[in-house]
Parts: sequence; structure tokens; C-alpha cells
Amino acid sequence: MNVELLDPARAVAEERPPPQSERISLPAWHSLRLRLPVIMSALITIVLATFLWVAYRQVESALLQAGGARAQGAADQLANLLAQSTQQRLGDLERAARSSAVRDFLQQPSDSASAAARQRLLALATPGQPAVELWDPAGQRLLTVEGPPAANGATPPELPAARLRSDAAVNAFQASHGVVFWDAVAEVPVDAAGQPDASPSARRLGYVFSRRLSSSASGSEVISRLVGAGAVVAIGNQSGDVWTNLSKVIPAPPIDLHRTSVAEYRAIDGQRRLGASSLIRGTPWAIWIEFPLNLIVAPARTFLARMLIFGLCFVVASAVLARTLSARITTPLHELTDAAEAIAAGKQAERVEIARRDEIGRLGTAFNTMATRVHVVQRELEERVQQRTARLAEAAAQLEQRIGEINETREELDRFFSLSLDLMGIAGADGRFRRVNRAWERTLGWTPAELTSTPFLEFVHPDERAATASETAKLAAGGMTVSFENRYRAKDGTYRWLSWSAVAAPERGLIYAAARDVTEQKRAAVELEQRAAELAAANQELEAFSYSVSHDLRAPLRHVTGFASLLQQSTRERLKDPETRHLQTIVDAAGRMGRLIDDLLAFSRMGRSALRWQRVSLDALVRDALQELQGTAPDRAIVWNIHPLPDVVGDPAMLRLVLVNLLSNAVKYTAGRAPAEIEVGANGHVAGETVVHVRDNGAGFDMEYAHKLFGVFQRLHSSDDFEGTGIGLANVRRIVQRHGGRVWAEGVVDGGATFFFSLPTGGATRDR
Amino acid sequence: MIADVKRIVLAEDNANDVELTMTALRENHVVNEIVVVRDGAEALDYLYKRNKFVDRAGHNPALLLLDLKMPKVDGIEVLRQVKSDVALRTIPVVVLTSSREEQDLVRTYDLGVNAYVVKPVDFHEFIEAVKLLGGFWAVVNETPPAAHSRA
Repeated sequence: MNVELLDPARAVAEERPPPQSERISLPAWHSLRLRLPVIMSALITIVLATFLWVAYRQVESALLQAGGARAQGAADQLANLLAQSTQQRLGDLERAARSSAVRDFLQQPSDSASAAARQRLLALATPGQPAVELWDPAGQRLLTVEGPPAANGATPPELPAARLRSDAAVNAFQASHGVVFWDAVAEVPVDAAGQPDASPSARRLGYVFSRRLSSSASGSEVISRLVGAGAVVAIGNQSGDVWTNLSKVIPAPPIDLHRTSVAEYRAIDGQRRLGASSLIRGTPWAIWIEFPLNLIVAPARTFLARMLIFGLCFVVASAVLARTLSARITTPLHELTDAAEAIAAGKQAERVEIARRDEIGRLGTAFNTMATRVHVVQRELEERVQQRTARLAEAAAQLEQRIGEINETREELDRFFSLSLDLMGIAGADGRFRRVNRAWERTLGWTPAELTSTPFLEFVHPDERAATASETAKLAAGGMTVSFENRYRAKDGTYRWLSWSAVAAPERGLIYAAARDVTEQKRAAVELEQRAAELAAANQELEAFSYSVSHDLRAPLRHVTGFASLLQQSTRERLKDPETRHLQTIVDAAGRMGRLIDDLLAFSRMGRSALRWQRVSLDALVRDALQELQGTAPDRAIVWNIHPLPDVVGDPAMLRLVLVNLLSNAVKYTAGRAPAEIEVGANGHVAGETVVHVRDNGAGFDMEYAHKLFGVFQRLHSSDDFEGTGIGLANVRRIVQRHGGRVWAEGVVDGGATFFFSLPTGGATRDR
Repeated sequence: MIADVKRIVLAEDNANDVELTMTALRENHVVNEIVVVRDGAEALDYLYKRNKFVDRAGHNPALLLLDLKMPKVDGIEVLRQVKSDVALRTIPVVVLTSSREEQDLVRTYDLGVNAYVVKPVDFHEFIEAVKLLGGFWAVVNETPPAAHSRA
């Protein structure tokens, strides 16, 4: 199933029914069984119609040509006939004009001559036609001869008087009151002797004039009958002014008579007509014969009708044939389709039986092969789908587990978020917090709603707003904020110092920020600073003090010893024993005082000078110290018991001083022992510290006063017994303490003493 | 110049010290002429032949014994001026002082002192120290000729 998840609504709309119910229902029009015959019939119809139309046009065109020829022939024939009859009439007139009777009458008008001329002209007169007239040369009528009355008793109509026209024998048709007529004139020529003369120079004695009517009620029918049914015959002037169909005046035919002979046109009654014209020789006339067009093309129509019937039969027959053929093709196709649909519906593929050797047969065979293959593939596919489904289910389970873990993690984070003592918040690009934890309310008193509804800059102390804004901008640009500090207004109006750590997620437009209330630390830091300043001032004073002690306290002592010594020198012989001793005491006391001052100053310096930390070999230091002590007690028997010592971290000069002090103490307090035993050892590195001890078998001490051992000027023995200033052990304690270690001692009076000092392994606690 | 016994200048404000130092020098048979000035200002006047020393004869002294704590101008300042003056810097300067303070040691060596002697409380030790000083600086040591050509 191929469903594209574009949007849910559309996906639902596009969801198709499962393939089991998919069956293509074919609309009737789409069926090949119907389509094939219809298409074939349509094709045949189109071809047939085209053929018929072309044939019809051909026949029609042939018929029109034939009609035209026929009309032309008839027109030519009639024109000939008319020319002959007109020539005959003119000949009659000319003969009468040249007759002696007419000439005599014109030369000698008398009653007898008049009768003879009248007699002669009577032969020209026709019943129903106008009279024949004899004119003098000026055109004056001399004689009028009426013809016999017409058979039907009709009299010739009144016509306008004729005028002499010497230019033509036969004149053009004229029309008057619906009557068309034509005039003919013949001259009476004589020579000078009065004899008939035919030469052009002859004199005209007079004229014979004849007028004939061209139209009669029956004239048209007679001639039409002559030419053929439906034909119309018209005659008229070549100039086109007067035309008649021999019964009445009609408009001239719509052609140029001198140029065209055959023409087709649409008459006033809407009928199409085909006509032909012919000029009539010896006259200014022309004749026109026309037939209605449908009369001419009637055979073509008949042909068309017959062919249509035949074509229809042909179309029906071919449709039936095509139907049978298509059924032969589509029936096996239907079978194949049904079988294919059955496969598509998931049924067991069945074979189709098509026992044919043509393409359909091949299709059937191919289909059967395919059906078998489909069955196999289907089974494989089902197996694969099952495998995939199982794998998908597995993946889904993993995903669910992962989601569960993520949810768990988120819950944990949420719990930490709300538990945190630090102020945590997530701010958006709009400068407001989206989310804050409960620490805010605990620290500042604002509720989360108050904090998220107001831009956080408004809570910031005005002095730090600019810095905060620029820090926020830096953050938003992808930076990171560490230990940025500003003051936040609490709900009670006071300000609290907050130290910020923040990071941005620019792609999400968020800033993750955590802040710690450092108000107390700030206050403590300020105090500490003050203390440090005070301490520094005190230190400076102390320094100045010890400086002047160093200079000014020693000078008088020096003077005392100096002058006492000079006194000793100068009075050596004179002084008595006690005086010499007193002087010596003065010198000694001043000397001890000088040493005291030196030790005290050294002790003071010890507390102030900086430690130089480095890895130190205690073994080497002990060797060094022993070397220094070598000369102090040359006559003493001392058994040294030195164990290997570890390396430590510290200031070598100071640690050396410690060892020198402790070892010289041991030597000093074992003064009465023979042999003196002094042991130096260490416990290695235990519990983060190295403990070194110096043990002797000397005078020892009372543990009751052990706490006084390491004090300045504190002594447990009189200086008469053991000389010393009481500074040494104080120095030891100060140095060890500055190294982060401890000092202590164990002892028994006259039972020896053990001094311990410890140093942190690796110098963990540095100089303070 | 050949017979000229080298002159030693002692700058010391304390009369007791002056006496003790003079005694010590005498004890050591130092025969040089010794000029005592009582403070730093006077020491500088002597070296530059100013004020009451304007008419003094001779060249730069062979040795300047200098106390540090003196009125007006202290020993450190005198040392600084001597060692920063081309004409005076060849004079050997030995600081004689009661102080054992490290800061004094460091400062004077920074300024180019030739020796630093802490006056011991014990007088015999002091005599020993002076003996060594006088013997080396005032008798044995030869200063460059340039120093003599001045004045």
C-alpha cells in the first residue's frame, strides 16, 4: 500500500480499499466490444459520405456543363432563326421600296399611283400588326396602309410616332405601355434620271416604314415549348435597355451580353437559373435562354438518393461484421481479465483455456505463465512482509523503550530543576523568561508568573542593565556566559547579587541560564578585602618596625660591646678580677641581646617571606644540616641513626632550617650523654601526610609543659643548663604550619625527647 | 700622585660608630687619610666639591664607607647618585650597616654596591671585618685611571 503522508486529511481521502475488493468496472462506452463496431461504422460512414459528396459534385458539375451547352445551342439556333426572319422582313421592305409603284407614287402622286402604291404596300401588312407607312425624304408620312384585322379582333395598340433615322435599317426594340416593338425602314433610292439606283451616292426619294410588335400573350409559351419545358426565352437590345420574354417587358439578363454567353445566377424569386445568350446577326438584338437550375441538376439528386440508400445498407452490414469480429477478440480478453482480477483479488491463480494460435492465443499462454509466477512471487512476498513486520515490531519496541528512558531522564531533570538551590531559567528571544524554577521565588520572592510576564531586564539593577543587555546579545550570537554578575531586584525592593552561567541555543531562540545568589559571598569578599588591606597595613607597620629594630636596637648594643671591649683592652693589666668579670658580663650580655634581636628578626621574617615551593629530598636536607652541625660539637660522641626519608613538596631553605633546629636541639640536649643517640626517621606517606621524627636520649622534658615547647622565648630548661634564645622551636612550628603541617613532641624528664613534624603529601595545602 | 696616600671617606652620623670604625681602622694599621662626613648630603657635597668642600683638593676618594640610616639624605640615595654618575661610579662603595634586612641587601646590590658589611655586635668580629675591607679596598684595589683624571 503506497500512502504518502502529506497531510492527514488528504491521506485519509486517498486511502484506497484493499486490493481484495478492487475490481475494475468498465463503462459501456469503454468496452472494446462496443467501441470497435462503432468506430468502424463511423469510419465507413465518413469515407462513404465523402465519396458520395464528391461524386454528387462531379455529376452536378457535368450536368451544369451539359445544361449550359444546351442553352447555348438553343440560343444560337433561335438567334439564327430570328436573324433570318428579320433579314427576310427587311428584304420584303426593300423590294417594296424599289418597286415602281412606290417610286412612281413618290415621283408623281396621283390617285392611281396612290392606289397602286397602297396595293403594293398591302402585301407587307400583317394582321394585328401596326400599319405600313410611306414617308417623303423629310420623314413626313405620305401613305398609311393598315393590314387586315386580327383573327381575335384585337386592334394594334397606340404607339408613339416613329421618327426618321437614317443610320439603321433595323432599329432597336422600344417599349411603350408594356408593349415592345421594333421599327424597320427601307430607302427608295433613285439616280438623277429618276431611275432606281443602288449606289451610295443615290438620292433618297422617300422611305418605306414598318413597325412590328414583339410581344404577345402567347408568344412566350410558343417559344418555350419550342426550346423545352421550364425554359425561359427572352429577347432584347444588346445595349440591355429593353427586353421582353415575348409577352411582356422584363429586366435584361444579368450578364454582359458581348462578353459572356453562359451564366448562372439567382433570380428575383430566389430560384437559381442557368442561361445562355446569343447575339442576333444584322440587328442590335440578342437572345437569352435560361433553365431553372434544379431542373438541370435533378438527375444528380436522384443519383445521390440512390447512393445514400446503398451506403446505408453498407454501413449497417459492416457494423454487424465489426461487432462479430470484436466479439471474437474481446471474449477471450474478458476471460483473461476475469482471471487477472481473480489474481488481483488474491484468489488462487487459475489457468485460462484459449485454444487459439493467433496473438490472443499467445497472450493466453503468456498469462498462464505469469499467473504461475505471480503465485510464486506472492508467496515470497508474503514471507518477506512477515519478516519485515516482525523487524518493525522489534524496532517499535526499542523505540518505545527509548522514549520511556527519555521520559525518565526528563522527569529526573525536571526534579533537579525544581530542587536546585540555584536559580534556573529558560529565556526566549523576546527577553522574557519562559520557565523558571522554584529557587527564584525562594531567593527573590517573585512568583514564576511575575517573572515570566515581565522582561528580565526590568528586574536588573539600572547600573547593570546595559552590561546585562550586551551580555544577552553576546549569548544570543552564540557566546557563552560564565560568572557574569548583576543585581536583581527582589520583591521586597532589595537587590541580590546573582552570578550567571548561561548558554544559548540560537537555532531555537532560547537561552538557558543558571544563577547563584552571591550576595553573601560578595559581602564576605568585600570584608575579606578590607581585612586584607588592614593586614597589609599592619604588615607594613611590622616591617617598618622590624627594620628600625634591626638598625636602631642593634647600634647601642654594638656600642656597648665595642666600648666595653676597648675598655677591656686598655685596662687589662689594671683591673682586678671581679671588675674584669663584670666587664666581660657586660660584653656577653650585650652579645646575647644582639643574638636575641637577630633571632627575633629572623622569626619575624620567617612569617612574612614567601615560600618557594618545589620537590625537596628530605635525605639531602638532613645531610646538609648535619654538615652544618659538624663543627658545633667536635668533642662529642654521638651515634647518628638516620633512616631513609621520603621526598616532600615545600620550601627547601625553610625545611632545612627546621631540620637544623631540631637536630641542633637534639645535639644540645644530649650534652650529658655518652654516647648520645639521635635518630631521624619518617613513617612514609600515611593518610595524606608525611610524619618525620627526631628522637634523642637527652634531657627530655616534662610532658606537663609540652604545650610551651613551641612558644617564642619559652624555655623548659634554664639557660645556665642549656644555652639558647627560645626562638628555635617557635621557628620550627611557624615553618611547618606555613607548609600546612603540624608539630608535636613527646618526652620524659631525663628519658629523652621525640619531636615530630608532619607535611601534607604533595604540599596539598599551600601557603596562606 | 705617586706619593699620594689613598683617601677614605666615611659617611656615618653616629659618633660612637665613627669612633669605633676609626679605632678598628687604626687597629688594622690603615694609614690612609680618612674624611668623615656626618650625613648623606655632606657626603655628596664632598664628592661633588660643593658647599664647604668646594675648595678641597685631590681626586675621587679611594673608598667610600657608607652607613645606610643617615639624616637628610640616606645611604641608599648617596649610593644611587654615585653609581649613576659617570665620573663617580668607579669609586668603590662599601655599605657598613647595623641592618641584616634582606631588602637593604637587595636594593644596594641592585644599585651596584661593591660590598655590604653588617656591623657585628661583637667588637672583635668588627675589627676583623674592617681589617679585610681596609686591606682590600683601600690598599690593594686599584681604581681605573679615568677616576683620577677628574677634578
